[in-house]
Amino acid sequence: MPSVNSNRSKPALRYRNPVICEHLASQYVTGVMTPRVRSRLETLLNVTPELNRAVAFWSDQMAEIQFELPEQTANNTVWNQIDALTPEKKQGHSSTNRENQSWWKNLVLWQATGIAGVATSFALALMLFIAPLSTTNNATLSLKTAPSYMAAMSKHNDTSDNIRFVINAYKKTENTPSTLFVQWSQREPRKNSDTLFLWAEDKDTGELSYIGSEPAKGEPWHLTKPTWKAISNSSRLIATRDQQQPSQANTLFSGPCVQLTDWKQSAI
Amino acid sequence: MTQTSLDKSTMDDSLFQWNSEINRLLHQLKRKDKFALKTLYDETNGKLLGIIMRIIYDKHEAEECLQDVFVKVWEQADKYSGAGSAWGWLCVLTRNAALDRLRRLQAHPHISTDEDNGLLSSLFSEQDLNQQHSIKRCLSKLKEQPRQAILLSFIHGYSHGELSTQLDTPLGTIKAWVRRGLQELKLCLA
Repeated sequence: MPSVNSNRSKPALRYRNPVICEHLASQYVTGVMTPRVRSRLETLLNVTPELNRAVAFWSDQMAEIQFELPEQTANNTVWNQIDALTPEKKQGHSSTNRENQSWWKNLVLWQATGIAGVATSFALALMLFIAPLSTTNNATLSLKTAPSYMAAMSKHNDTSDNIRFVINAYKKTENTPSTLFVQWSQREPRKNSDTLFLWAEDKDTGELSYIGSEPAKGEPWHLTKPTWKAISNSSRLIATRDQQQPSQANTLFSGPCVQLTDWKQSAI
Repeated sequence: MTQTSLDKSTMDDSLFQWNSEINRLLHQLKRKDKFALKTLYDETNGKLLGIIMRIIYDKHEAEECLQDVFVKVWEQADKYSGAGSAWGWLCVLTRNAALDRLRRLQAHPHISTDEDNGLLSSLFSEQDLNQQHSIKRCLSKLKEQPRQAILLSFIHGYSHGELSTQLDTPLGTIKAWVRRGLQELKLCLA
């Protein structure tokens, strides 16, 4: 029945209430839930980004404690048993590999489509309260075309949903190279003019690629072919205060990077 | 900057690098990369077995649980959304697996107050208390009873009922300690 499916995919609004999210997430990570309650919560995690972020926050905080507690040594036979129970897909059967790749690509496609849908709604909401600070010679670009990628950047390790700025990446056109635009939140405008250094985290490997430093005010932030590729393959963008590899000490902002569909094509 | 804060900064950086490596391995696992699974096992099995052993005090059962955890990681790596760190995700997965096994065994957590107190006090050093948003600094700011209740539940998997027995305190009081303690923690960490 459609109505049942609809209810399953759309969690009750109360689970988006920050107070309830926090309570459930903290209990899930630190407390003891019955298997039934935990299973219900894990289902909700798949469809409630607010809850998912709250769980991620508590998991990360509490994992720091587990990291420092004493280790135990496992018997060598444990890995042998794991090895036997996790058969690797045979190499050399190209058709099977292609099928697997196709299956994986389909899965990624659906995941990406879902994320893009959420992100598009999110972007529309953001545009209501975000004002562009960067005005460049190519500013009209944003009026003629939609961005291909967007990252909503929050203060690092902050899960309070305070988006400080968004980064929009526009694909190159016949006349202009690929370009990034940074737009700060009107609610929480930029507090200083320190240059930001941008990194992209690869969605498949987790490897970090250096994109570059923020250009002077008024200058366009053009991308090279490799940096465009790094952005298009990224799951997350990270802004640091210097050119050193991102670390706890120098990371200022981070946010998920999503590919956006063309709004003209998406329009009903 | 003092030597102490330098040491702490170095440790944070090494933890950050280690976390990045675990993130990378988990992303590779989504493509069913067996070498990534072995590397992840080598990097984390000691820590994850430690988590399990603090809930299940039987080494044989704990090792079987560890085995289940890695099979689950192999099969469900694609469920890792990337919203938090891979290490945090692994910790939750492992702790839940240990609690499930404990329940199946119908065993109660080992209760040893002296041992627990020693472990809990080892968590707090002067360096950590100077870190503004450190979880340990925030825990140290809680009153002793809520802190103890939260940590015993988190580390040893004690239910509220078991905490009530262990701490000789009414169940309602235990629940209130945990709820308020977690609220204060969140405020401190924000």
